[in-house]
Amino acid sequence: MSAPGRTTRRIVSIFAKGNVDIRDSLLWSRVGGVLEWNGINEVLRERHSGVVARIKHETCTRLDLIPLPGETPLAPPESVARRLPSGSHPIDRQHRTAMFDAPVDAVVLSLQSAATNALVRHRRDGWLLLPDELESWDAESRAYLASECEYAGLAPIETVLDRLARLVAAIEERLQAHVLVYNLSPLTPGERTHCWLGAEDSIGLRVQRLNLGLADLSARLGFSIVDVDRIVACAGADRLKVDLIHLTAEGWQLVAEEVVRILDERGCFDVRPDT
Amino acid sequence: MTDLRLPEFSISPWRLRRSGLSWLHRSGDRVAAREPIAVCHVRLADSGRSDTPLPLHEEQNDLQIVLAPGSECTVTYREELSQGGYQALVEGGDWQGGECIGHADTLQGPGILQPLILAGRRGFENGEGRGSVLAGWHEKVRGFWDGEGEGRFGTVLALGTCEQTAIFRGDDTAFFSWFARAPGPVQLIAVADERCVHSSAVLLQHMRRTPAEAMAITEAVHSWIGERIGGADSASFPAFQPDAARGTLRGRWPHGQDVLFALHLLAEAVGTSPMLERSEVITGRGIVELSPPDAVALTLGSELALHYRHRRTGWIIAMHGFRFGPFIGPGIADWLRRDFEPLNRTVVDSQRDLAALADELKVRTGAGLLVQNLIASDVAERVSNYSWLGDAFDKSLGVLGTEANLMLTDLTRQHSIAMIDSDALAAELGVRHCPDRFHASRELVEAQRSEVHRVLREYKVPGF
Repeated sequence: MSAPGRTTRRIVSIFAKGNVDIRDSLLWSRVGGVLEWNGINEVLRERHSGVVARIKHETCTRLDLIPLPGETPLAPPESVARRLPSGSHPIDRQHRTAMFDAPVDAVVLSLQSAATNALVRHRRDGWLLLPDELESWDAESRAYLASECEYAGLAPIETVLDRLARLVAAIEERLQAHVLVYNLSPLTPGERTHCWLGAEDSIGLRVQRLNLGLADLSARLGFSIVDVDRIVACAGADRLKVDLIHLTAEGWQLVAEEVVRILDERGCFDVRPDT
Repeated sequence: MTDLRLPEFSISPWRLRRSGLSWLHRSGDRVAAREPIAVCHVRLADSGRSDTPLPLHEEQNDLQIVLAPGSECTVTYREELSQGGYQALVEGGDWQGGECIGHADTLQGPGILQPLILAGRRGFENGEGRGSVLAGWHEKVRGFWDGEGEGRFGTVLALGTCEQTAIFRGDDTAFFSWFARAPGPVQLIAVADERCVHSSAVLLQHMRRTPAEAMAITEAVHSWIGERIGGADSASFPAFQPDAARGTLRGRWPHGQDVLFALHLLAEAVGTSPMLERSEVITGRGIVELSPPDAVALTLGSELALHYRHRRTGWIIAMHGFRFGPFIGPGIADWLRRDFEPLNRTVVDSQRDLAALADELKVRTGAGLLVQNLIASDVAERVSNYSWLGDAFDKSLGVLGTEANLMLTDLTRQHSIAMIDSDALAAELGVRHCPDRFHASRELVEAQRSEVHRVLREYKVPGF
């Protein structure tokens, strides 16, 4: 029972594993130091005033690198993590997650890392690494990378989807949490290709294939898709998109509203006896 | 002031007869370059000296010339040249090249008007539908113009579903948008999908049809029509029932529509494939015979139409589901149930047929395919959990559309196919511009038209 005069609040705990799309929609979007969107709780305040989202956010090097419970990932040794710059993806955390450390109501993931993040592989030991913000690395670090590692590229789509299927199963089994996965809008403003003769898949085509695979996986496993592709298409990419990944503040708000809609549909805001 | 004059056509030994002019603007209006200001009906007349067949003889009943200034100007008409009434519909005098029909101020260049010639081949020759620009029901329409370009005509054939009709024929249904943008010489041809939808399966089979197969289809249709009419009894004629003796609302003989539709299906199946048909154009240099189209525009939407295969002859037809009921009566539905089998085509089937069509067309005429993809996103289809769709997952238009679009992308890698990415254009502007996935706003249609134009130029189709 609540104390007199105190408002009863339902706290929804969310583990959000992803990068800019996850952070800018659920937490905040800041451009040039100016706060442009203040995250999912803005939507909740308006639509579900008794509910607050408590979000634990973790960046995601790539979906297929998230270790499942009991797995020992093949990660770069500590000495490498110490000597190389990290960028937004600290090397010692690239193969780790706190996802399974505590119970949550929902886990939110995104296809973004699988769509865009190309990795390097250590030639001798085989571990993978995301050399984030490589353009800012010093010459010595670059030389190490060139001599010790080789380009491993993007993950095959089948590998990503297989790994995601196992991850969803593990989340549902270990955490009994709802799983939401963001897809991506494949549009890059201004890009217009009518013939792909001799060309490899563009990032836009790769996103379309991933989105289609994600829908198929959702049909089999029952997790929810936050359909960023549809949200952008409905309002218009000219209005909502800045580049392949970044949306305008209005775009992030619409994505956050869709997350709230899905969580509500899944019963995450229902009042429980213990609240 | 510059005199606005009719252009000359070199068509000897024939004469060109014309109706009175209908103005498409008010006198005193400011008009853009190549913006039509007048139209008239025309007809080629035999001078009696020629023993060669009349050119464009299948389109004589719906031949029109639209006139436009070559640059922006303010027009003033010679009003006496437009008497209205039936004089605007029926040819009453000879075309006089150089005749002054009005005046223009601030016109750059000579005052010879630019002609856009429109030709409609009627589905039913005796059915009059004149009244405005390219009015009436036609099985095939053409628009062509010499323009200011040089060299041979470039021809594009549009065989897609309704979203493509909007792109090619435009709001005015008479190719004005293309006349304004393509310098020429250009010919655009549009064949609508009311009779049969032009999917890759339908087109491929049509192109490969043998005389024996055409005969078998003719016999099958003839037999069914015989049954349909032979099975009529006195109750089949509502106009002559006792309760109609003093007047009735039931004016039409219902069987007639079924029979006519079957005949139209047959006429298309045993006529020349529009992809192989040559054409004649009237120009300032004379009447020129043109090769089959340089490019054929299709839509992936055609692949989604309902397909049926005639059990005995193998004849494949495709129709939009929405046509059953309001347009196609129960008699045809009964015929389809009895003599045809549904052909459930997958994305893989479309891929195979589109590839074969592109390859065969390339060999036969050298033409390339432009295929408009599907708009996969939909304002109404908001699915966050695909497991809730169950068995309907594979039929979800969002899923099917993305699968088909990716298939089309892959086809462009190996075959003479260019993709018009309507999906991306709709998403850029917002799918509110196309809420039902097919019928786009003017803004989106214009974006699609620009993209088609860009691709045609990139493929170096002459005149564009």
